Amino acid sequence: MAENNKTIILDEENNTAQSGSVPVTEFLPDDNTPDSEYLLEVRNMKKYFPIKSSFFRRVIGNVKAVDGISFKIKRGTTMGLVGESGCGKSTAGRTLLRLQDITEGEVLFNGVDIFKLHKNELRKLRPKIQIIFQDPYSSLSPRLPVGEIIGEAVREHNIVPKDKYDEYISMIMRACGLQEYHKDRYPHEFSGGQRQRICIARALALNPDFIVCDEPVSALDVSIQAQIINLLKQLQKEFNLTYLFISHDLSVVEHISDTVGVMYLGNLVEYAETDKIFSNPLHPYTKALFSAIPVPDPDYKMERIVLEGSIPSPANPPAGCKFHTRCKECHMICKYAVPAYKEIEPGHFCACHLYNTQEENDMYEQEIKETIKNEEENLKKAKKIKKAEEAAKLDSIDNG
Amino acid sequence: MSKNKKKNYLSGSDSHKISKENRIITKYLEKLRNDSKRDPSQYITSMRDENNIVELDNVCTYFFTDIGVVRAVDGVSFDIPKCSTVGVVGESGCGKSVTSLSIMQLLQRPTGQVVGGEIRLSNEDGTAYNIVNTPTSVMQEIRGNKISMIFQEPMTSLNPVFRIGAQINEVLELHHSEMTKEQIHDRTMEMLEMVGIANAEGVYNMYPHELSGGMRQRVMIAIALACDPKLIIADEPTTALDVTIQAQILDLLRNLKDKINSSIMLITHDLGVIAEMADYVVVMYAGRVVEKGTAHDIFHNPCHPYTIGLMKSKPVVGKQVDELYNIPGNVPNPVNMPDYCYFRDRCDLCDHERCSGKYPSEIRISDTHVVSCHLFADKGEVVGRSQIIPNSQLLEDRVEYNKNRKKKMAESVNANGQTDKTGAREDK
Repeated sequence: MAENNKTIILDEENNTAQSGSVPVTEFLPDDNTPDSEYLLEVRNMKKYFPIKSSFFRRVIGNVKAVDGISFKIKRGTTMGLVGESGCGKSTAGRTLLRLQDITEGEVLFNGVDIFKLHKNELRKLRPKIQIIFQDPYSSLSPRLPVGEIIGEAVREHNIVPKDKYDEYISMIMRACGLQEYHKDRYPHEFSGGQRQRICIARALALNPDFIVCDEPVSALDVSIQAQIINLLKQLQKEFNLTYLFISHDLSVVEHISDTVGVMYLGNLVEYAETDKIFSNPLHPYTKALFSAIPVPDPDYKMERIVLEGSIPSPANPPAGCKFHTRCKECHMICKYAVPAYKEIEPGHFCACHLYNTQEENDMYEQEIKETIKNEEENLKKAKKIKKAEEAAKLDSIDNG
Repeated sequence: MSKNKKKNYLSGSDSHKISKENRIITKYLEKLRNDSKRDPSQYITSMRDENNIVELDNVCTYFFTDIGVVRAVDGVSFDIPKCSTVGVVGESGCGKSVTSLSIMQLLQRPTGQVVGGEIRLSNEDGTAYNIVNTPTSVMQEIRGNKISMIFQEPMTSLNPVFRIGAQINEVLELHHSEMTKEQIHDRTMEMLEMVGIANAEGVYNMYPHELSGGMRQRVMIAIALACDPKLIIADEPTTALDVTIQAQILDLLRNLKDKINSSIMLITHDLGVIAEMADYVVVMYAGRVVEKGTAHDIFHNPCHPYTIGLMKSKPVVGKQVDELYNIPGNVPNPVNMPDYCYFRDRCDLCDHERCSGKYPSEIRISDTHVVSCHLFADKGEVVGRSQIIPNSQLLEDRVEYNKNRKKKMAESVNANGQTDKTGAREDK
């Protein structure tokens, strides 16, 4: 089945290659290139939402939802993305599928920048990148029967020939644990777990390589959660899928992911393999996050790091390290200098001043000294100006 | 297809019949509930055990809908001891929220009704209220004062058009009419500081939309604690919150419980939260308690197959498993509950001979640990059996109630020496 599909797609693309401006073969998967180990690469992705003034609709600021994140995902693996709500993990997931425009940076899918593709070529790429949304109650059209929900895009993209269409939809539905006679039913006739299966089937029907799962299980019950996670894992093995799994439930992320990235206020603060990050978290935020997971064992007593306060506004993030307002191990440096996101152990990235080398520390210290000096000078200047103004005022009063 | 139709299809006349019968029953139950001049002897009882704050005894809460009677809570009994936390776990739709609403008498009436059993709430003077029979007028004094509730969604449960201060003051004004305005203001400020809001004076004058989710939940807790309640019902207090904020709120609840000497009934589907907070655990499935005991009993020695399944289906950090266990099948249709064990069709350990019999009775396997499963039939003594209250019984009750009322009416009429006709007409 899969082979058939591939040949069809190739035919399609050859047809359009003559009319398109960029040769389409450029973004076709080429298994011989050394970079093919990684399916997706994100380079310094930024996504700002402008804040507009109420009167002239001028842009007066930016909500920095995603503020420069970079990572790579290997073929056939799962990357988990965790963080508090409002830290930009959903925005990151949507942006890298080009569901919204990017402010800065690159997203390379199979070595091709998604954001530089022409409309027609993007359309060809769409089936390869799919998304499963969080809420299965609002992401399915209530007016379409299930067969149509799953099949609409299949027809649109000519994934299979017309005479095999019905058979193909049935096969996809069976793979996702749905019955064939569900085809003519409407979404409201299904429970939450079944609806999420429909969403998964809809994504899977297009024969994708990469699926963004945006909190696919957080609206579901515990036992149904387990069914959906098992289904996702099984499908990954069967179809060699690559996932970006966005969730705030750390235990689920640990179970399903191969690598984990932790986000805080639009930045990736730590990234490593799942075993490494859970056994040896480096960043203070990651440590606090992991210690907050409730463990289902009444005798288990853990030293919990309770974070004070809540996440700052992304429209006006704190200077220096964004986490320093809530950090227990905050130093002088953290308030002024932004920590670099660097590899501390092989494969373990972290952005924190605690892991700076001596040289780096010295460098930062000098910078800080300068900035403090500048600030002080500025303050002095401001004071002088104020004094002069006051004197001028007094003079004018006296003269008057 | 045709088979399915036969099973679930309701003809117009059937539905009409059901709704007619429902109206008769709910009308009678509403009459009971609204009778403000009810004799106190009917709802004042005494506690079984002095150390409990609330005792639930075979509570049945039914919803009389047009497709049939939904038995949402069906013979639930457990105790809430003084100064302790009782956790109630179960999947959505298992009746855990309805249980808490029954205690508060906040059910969607007239469709939802507590039709049987006893909910006893201890009073300071040694007596107890039976909440099932307490009329609404008395209930209004208890609600918010002796029992209070923290709801799941702090955004929807705070009124967006009133300031935070006014919303906390309201509770105190209602229940403590003897307090002056200054006293109420001071008390409100004290409550805000107690729940860990640093800028209490500022928050007092804010509107709910100016606060974050965690802060809003703190305000909800402040409202719930304002009158020093004996029991706080927390209905999924942390489900809508982040992990780090959840940790803050749980910490706060735990500290406050010791500070003000009250009990907490914690409703959640997160086993991790239960393990951390609860002293006693009640596991519910399809409107019935399948297992109850201390947290130690439930987590170290889970006995009911449903409890075991629930534990295995949640991934735990630090425990590697290839595939998560999932409980096969679905919860049975709440309108047509089977006669046999509700979990039989989903159970791995099911033994068809025994499990096809009646719904298993509750079996005490240790001093604190009670399971209702046929597998443990020989391993302990039988404590009780929850039973369905059929509609026919409610209808009979109603006839008897009307008879008694007629009799009373006649007696009073005879005593007053008035004509018989007026009393009889009223009844019709």
